[in-house]
Amino acid sequence: MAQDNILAVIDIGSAETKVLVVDLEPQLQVIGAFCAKTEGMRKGEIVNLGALKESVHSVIGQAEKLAGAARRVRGACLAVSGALVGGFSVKGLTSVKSGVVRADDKDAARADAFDACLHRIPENRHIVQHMLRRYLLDRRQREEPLGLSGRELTYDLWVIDADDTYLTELYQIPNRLGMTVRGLFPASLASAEAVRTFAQIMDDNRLVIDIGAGTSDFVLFRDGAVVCTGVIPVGGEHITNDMSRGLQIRMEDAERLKIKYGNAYARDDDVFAEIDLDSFEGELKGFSKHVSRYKMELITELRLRELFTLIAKKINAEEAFSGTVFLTGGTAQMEGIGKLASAIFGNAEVRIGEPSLSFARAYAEPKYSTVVGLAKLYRDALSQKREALGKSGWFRRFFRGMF
Amino acid sequence: MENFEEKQSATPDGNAAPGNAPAGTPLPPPLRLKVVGVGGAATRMVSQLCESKAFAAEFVAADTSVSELAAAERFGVRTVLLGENITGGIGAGTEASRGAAAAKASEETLRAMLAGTDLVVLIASLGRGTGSGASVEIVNLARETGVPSVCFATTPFSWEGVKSTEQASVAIDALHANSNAFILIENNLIAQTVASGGSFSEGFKISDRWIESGVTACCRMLLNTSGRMRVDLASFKNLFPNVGTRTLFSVGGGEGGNAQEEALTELFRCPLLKTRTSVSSDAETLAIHIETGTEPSLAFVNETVQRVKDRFGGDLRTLSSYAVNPALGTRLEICVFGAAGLRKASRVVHPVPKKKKQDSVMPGGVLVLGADDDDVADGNAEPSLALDDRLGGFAETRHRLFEGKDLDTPTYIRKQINLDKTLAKKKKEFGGAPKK
Repeated sequence: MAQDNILAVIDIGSAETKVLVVDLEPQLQVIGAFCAKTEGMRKGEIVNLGALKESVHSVIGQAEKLAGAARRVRGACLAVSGALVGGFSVKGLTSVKSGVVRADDKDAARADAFDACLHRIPENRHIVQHMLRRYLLDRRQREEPLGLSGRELTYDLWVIDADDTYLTELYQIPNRLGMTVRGLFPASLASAEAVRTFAQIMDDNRLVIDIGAGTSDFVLFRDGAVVCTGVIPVGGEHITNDMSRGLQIRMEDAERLKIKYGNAYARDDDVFAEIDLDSFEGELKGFSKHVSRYKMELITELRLRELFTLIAKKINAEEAFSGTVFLTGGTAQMEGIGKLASAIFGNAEVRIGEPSLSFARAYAEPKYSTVVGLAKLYRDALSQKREALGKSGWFRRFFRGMF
Repeated sequence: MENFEEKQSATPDGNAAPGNAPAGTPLPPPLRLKVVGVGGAATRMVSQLCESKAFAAEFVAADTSVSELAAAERFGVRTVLLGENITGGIGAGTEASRGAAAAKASEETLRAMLAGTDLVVLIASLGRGTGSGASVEIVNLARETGVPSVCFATTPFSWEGVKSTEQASVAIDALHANSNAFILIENNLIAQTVASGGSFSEGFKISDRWIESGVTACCRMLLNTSGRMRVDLASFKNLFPNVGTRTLFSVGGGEGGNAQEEALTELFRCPLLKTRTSVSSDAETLAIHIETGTEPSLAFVNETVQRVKDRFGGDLRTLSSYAVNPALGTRLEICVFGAAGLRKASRVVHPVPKKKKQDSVMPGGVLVLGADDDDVADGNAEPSLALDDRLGGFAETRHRLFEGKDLDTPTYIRKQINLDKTLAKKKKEFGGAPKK
């Protein structure tokens, strides 16, 4: 049963699949890793399950090989993202009979919230994760209401749900290799976990945006608790596509152009600058030989500005934002993106987050955020589970302990 | 000449006898084309087409507004007032459901209008009530009565609001699913194409021109009398045998000595190739219509067709036609129709030969003369499972609006920001230094 300690952590991104094979005992440790292009997935949506399976399986196979041939991995942990993942808040309400909040009042409020959640969720969707946002005692926010006096206790719950078909298809991928899915986490939470700074002040109030290839996942923390999560179906691929259309060049050229010269700001310095596609890694098959650098930057700026504005609108609907913004994911490597984000999120401090966890030092690149965080989340959840095993209410503790 | 198969296209026999049309036999009934405009803007467009008398077809305007129809009637357009009892003849009030209800109420009239038609060309201006609601009903009726339909639809500007975008999006899906050929014209694209200093109405003229040249080319291809090659209705129908396939549509024009190059460049770069219901390469069937001022040379037609095929595909079936229109002078106009996804359903049946096509498909590349047409054709047209980079857009994902915004369309297009103009302005601001 030693094999139980070995787990494949899989992040299937629209552009690249990253797999870490980790050893959970005695310490979290990466023993094999591989990353390769994903086929059959765009915008976080599965467009071709067969191709997707094939490409992911080959990545898992490579990672397993690197981990050592004798170790057959039986368990998997997955991240969910994409337009089919949603989030909403529900509130459970109870009246405090004795005037002072007791444990059973809290349970009642919680039960009411879950009841409301089950009513709210459509039949074809599935709860991925739920977490306590806060307690409200007589409409005032309380971190821990136990023992406080009041009349009405509200349990504010944030629920992340995903489309059933999508999940079924996602589960199929490791299942076909004889793996069981042991953990399922939203990509936004995983990325947030990976880019923690361990500075209390910065971690407690922060907005983490993981800009991947096809989607952007974000999560907002307030006082250490999740306030809201979400997915915007826009990512780096959209920038490439915009460039390809706006500059009339091929997608491959646009992709290379973006990586090499991409800038999130249309800079005045570049008004007269032109990039020669010919000199740039040879082979030219499109139309124009020269593309204007300013135009390219303008296209990028407009797209990213819109993306950040959409996120700002979403989180401001929950509550006004103040704190630190963490950008991560492949697109976060773009030059100038921090400045742009700062301008939109009210001059907030912006950091480009790289996974900073000690067990995965070798993967300190923004694109590995999700997969590294995923391993951490699973490991944390596991130890919480072990600690609380056998006692009632471990589930709640598990979620509260995490955030 | 009646039945153009792919073989003919490789050797377009420009100077053959003017079609062995059944001279002595009793003439078949002439082609009955109907151009139907649904919605305010489309009604006006139909009036324009009717006035220009570019081809012989019956023009119909269907709307819920009496005043629009009265204006159209002056141009000699047949008018159909939809749902008089529902809308009272003052329009559908931006509600697609009212537009649909109006069309349903006038079903009998519409049926009578569609009866005895060989091909209906529908022009719909989506976004508001009649265009978004009634057009769907009309296409459904056409499908029900077995009349093939070619549908041109314009989408609203993004500033017209979320509601308009959503209504249009729903209508697009419905129209696309039920018409044989569906061509989407995004008004947001206009900002990208207007030459500097273009006025607002000039902008609309561009979208009008796209529709006009599309409708004209489509009808002229079928009613062609001046050219030597023409496409008959049966083969045209065969281009779009199924409803709901992706349609390729592009127009291009050029003038003067370099007309061919100009026209082809414009054709390959046409923004209509990148809409959400279109394909931009590897179409399975293709119809190419070339219109010139003077009689073209054999080599010219040959080369043009070949280059269009290199870019767009058309391996299964390619029809070509050309017309001589002295009014054009030195101008050359090319219009291409095509469909893709016809064989998706039968993917299993076709074995895929391993023979790979030469890497000559990219536009602007060298002209490939070679026997890539007949024997390899069937295998090549198989859309590869790997994602095609040239597809652009997010063609294979399900289309979804995000809070009323079509996020797959580039932001600069939705915000109507003309990149060239912005750049030119900036350049001016910084002292107009030389370009290089």
